[in-house]
Amino acid sequence: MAAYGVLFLFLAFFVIPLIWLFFAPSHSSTQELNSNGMRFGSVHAYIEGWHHLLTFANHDQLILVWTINSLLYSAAAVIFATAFGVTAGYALAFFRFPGRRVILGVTMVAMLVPATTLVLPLFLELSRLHIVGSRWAVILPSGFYPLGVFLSYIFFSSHFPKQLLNAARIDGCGEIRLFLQIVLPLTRNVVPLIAFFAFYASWTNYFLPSVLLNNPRTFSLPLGVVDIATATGAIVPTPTAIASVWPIGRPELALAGLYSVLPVIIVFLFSQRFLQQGPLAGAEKT
Amino acid sequence: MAGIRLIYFLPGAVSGSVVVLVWLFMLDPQASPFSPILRLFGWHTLQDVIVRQNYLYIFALMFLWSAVGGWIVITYGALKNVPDEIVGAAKIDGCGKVALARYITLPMIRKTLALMAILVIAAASQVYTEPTILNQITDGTAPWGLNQVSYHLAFGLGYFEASAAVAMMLVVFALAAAGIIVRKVGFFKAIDE
Amino acid sequence: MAELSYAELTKVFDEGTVAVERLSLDVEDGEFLVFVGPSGCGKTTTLMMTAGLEEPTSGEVLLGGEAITYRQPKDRDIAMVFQSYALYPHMTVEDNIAFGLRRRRMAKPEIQLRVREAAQKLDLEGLLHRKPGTLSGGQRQRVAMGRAMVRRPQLFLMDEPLSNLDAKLRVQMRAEIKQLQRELGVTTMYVTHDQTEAMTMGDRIAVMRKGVLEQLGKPSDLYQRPRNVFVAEFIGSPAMNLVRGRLQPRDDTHAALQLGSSEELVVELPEEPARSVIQQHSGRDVVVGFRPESVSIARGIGAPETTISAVVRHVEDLGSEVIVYFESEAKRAVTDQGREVAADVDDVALETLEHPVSGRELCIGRLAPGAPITVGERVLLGVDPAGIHIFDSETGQALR
Repeated sequence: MAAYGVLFLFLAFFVIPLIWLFFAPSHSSTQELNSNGMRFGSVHAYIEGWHHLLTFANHDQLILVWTINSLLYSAAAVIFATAFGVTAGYALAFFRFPGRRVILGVTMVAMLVPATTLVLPLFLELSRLHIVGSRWAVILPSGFYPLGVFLSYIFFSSHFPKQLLNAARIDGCGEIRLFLQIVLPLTRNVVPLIAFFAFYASWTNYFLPSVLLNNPRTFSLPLGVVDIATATGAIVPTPTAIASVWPIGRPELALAGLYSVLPVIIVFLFSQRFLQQGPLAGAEKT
Repeated sequence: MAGIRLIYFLPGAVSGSVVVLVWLFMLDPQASPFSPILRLFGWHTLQDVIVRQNYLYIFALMFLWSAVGGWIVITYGALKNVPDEIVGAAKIDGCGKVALARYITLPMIRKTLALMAILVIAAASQVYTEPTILNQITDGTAPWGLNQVSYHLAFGLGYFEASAAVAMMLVVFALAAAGIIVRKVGFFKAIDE
Repeated sequence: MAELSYAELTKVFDEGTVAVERLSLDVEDGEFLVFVGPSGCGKTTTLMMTAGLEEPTSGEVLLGGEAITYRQPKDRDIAMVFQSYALYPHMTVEDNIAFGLRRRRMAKPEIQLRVREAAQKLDLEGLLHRKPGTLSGGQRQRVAMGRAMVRRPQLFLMDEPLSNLDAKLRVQMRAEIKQLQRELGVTTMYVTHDQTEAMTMGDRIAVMRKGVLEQLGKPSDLYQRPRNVFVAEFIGSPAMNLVRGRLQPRDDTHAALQLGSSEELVVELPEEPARSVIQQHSGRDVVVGFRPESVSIARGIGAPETTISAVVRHVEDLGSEVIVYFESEAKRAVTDQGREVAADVDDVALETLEHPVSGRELCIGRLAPGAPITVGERVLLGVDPAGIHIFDSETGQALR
């Protein structure tokens, strides 16, 4: 039963900060939060805090703009990453063409390369296209998701009945129809997996967008939250903070954080079944 | 049990800035639910905790909290792929819990573990969000991650070449780690060849 | 002494399914006991409880007189061969075989000796340094056997070890396993759904159905004296013919079985107390069974009491014998048990219930080679009265 003790400690480590996050916005001010952290304050405070977030920076409802941006970026990422991932994995798994092994190897390496290395060339490329600073700078590269290609490749090469393709070809099926009408319907097991990971990666992505965007109206939620934090010094007062102008304290910031996590929780709950399999199901096949 | 896995996974969904926010609160001996533990170390105010010597551990803690959950989910998936019959055979062969893990389970999921090790090394060496934010809100006294340095060289100072060089250092480091792990684990060979 | 006993062993799963119901039987030291039955009959669950991989709801398992019911698998002194062999994929053949011995901290030289011995016996010497993934099905099977053998346990457990092999290999391995067991003299519990394996390998057979032990006995006992319709239909290939009939008394020592409007067979009644039981069924419908071997071509006119007039519908000349499918007044008695047996995709059941000739109610007979039989011909077939079984049509219990 010592195992349960360890599990419990682990759980406590993960859960307690989350509980704090859930309860924090229920207090009406930073001072109150500091003294009553883990207890529940009032429901009213949530509403007030939300109101404060909405009216941050010129009553622009910036937080909603950020939400829409995040939705836009993530939708684009899911669509592109899944589309490219599935088609690329399909091609790599079933067709022999020169450079195939090289591409596979490069894909693997691409997964390991830190985002830092990519930022620079990406930035230079995008600025040559004159789209740095616009939403396109985030949308266009979002199709680049090597993990998606890799998952798709593993799926097609180990869990897909190859004979089906030949049978269909003999029946006179053209390649495009083959892919659309026969292959796609059978990807039910891998598409949601890729889509989920692509969504997750895109929704929580801070680094790349922070480099490519500078207009607050184009920010995604993660960027926006940082913006509030630094601008208002809500976490720790900074010399550049304009703290007292807007009533953004720790509770409001926690609310913003909570708000940005919600969609992921919802998506995760819906996609439980697909995550059961484990992304490497098949790689461990003995 | 799926609910518990969700709990492990959730912190990873919290964006970087909020992670810092949450953990600054967790590390404040005057307000944190973990304060008894903090006081054990002799810390009484937040300023006591956020000092030079502790930055390494603070970053590690934040990273751990947000990154481990995803890997727990993935490892769970890999463990489910170990056939029940093999576990049964091992038990009959005389394996207790420890022997089972050591000789059977862990070797059988070593590819997932290897992948995890590689990606975690890469991700951890690239911490950007936490040091950046910590710097912004503590007046730039926190140490910088290499990723940050690269970014600053490029966008703050305009030294693109230097920035690229630093970035390459990170790549080489990650690839070297990957190479060692791949070789040790025989990543590209089938487990039963 | 390694006797294995079950005392009222029961397993009820959480959803309420009763997998094994109050199983009690004794296996003698050194005996090869086969558990056979359709899927879901409880044989594998019983095996799992014997191995310690599943906990019983109630009852006891005893090995060598000791109750091992709740002991850990590793403390039971047993060895097991799994259906899928369950070889450790990341270890060599040698390490697979030696694994159990190493975990028990046996001395290295002793381990080496035993492994070499097993490898020799199972013809695995050249494969010791290979990994399971590079071996054929038959080779893997032998490695699984080797792993079990070297432990020299009190009890061998085998869970359908031959079902993943192709037919020819299966026949070969059947003999090898039995021979090995005889040499080693280890008490063995063998589970299979294939009645042929059961009949050819078992010293005794335990037929199970829906968690209940239907009959326990030597292969010949089960074959000649099945206790109920289920066992009668399950054992024997091709399966026993089961037809509907009505029992009418003939005299004190005989009874007539009316198979249709004009057909009837007369049988001699057994001694008391069975005689009275049968006589109680007078006038009622019963299930009449006779095995294909009891059928022959009647010479001359033949007595109506031991013959059936039939039309030949299909003939299979195997050279060694002639299988004939015929249609007569005898109509198939399709029992629940019969349907169950057929539902479990089994060669035996498929042969009889879904015979090659479209849906007619046919019976099967086994005739001597060269029997003068043509399709479409009306013939007179003799049924050996000694081989006629009578079953209660409701309970399925054997009356004769």
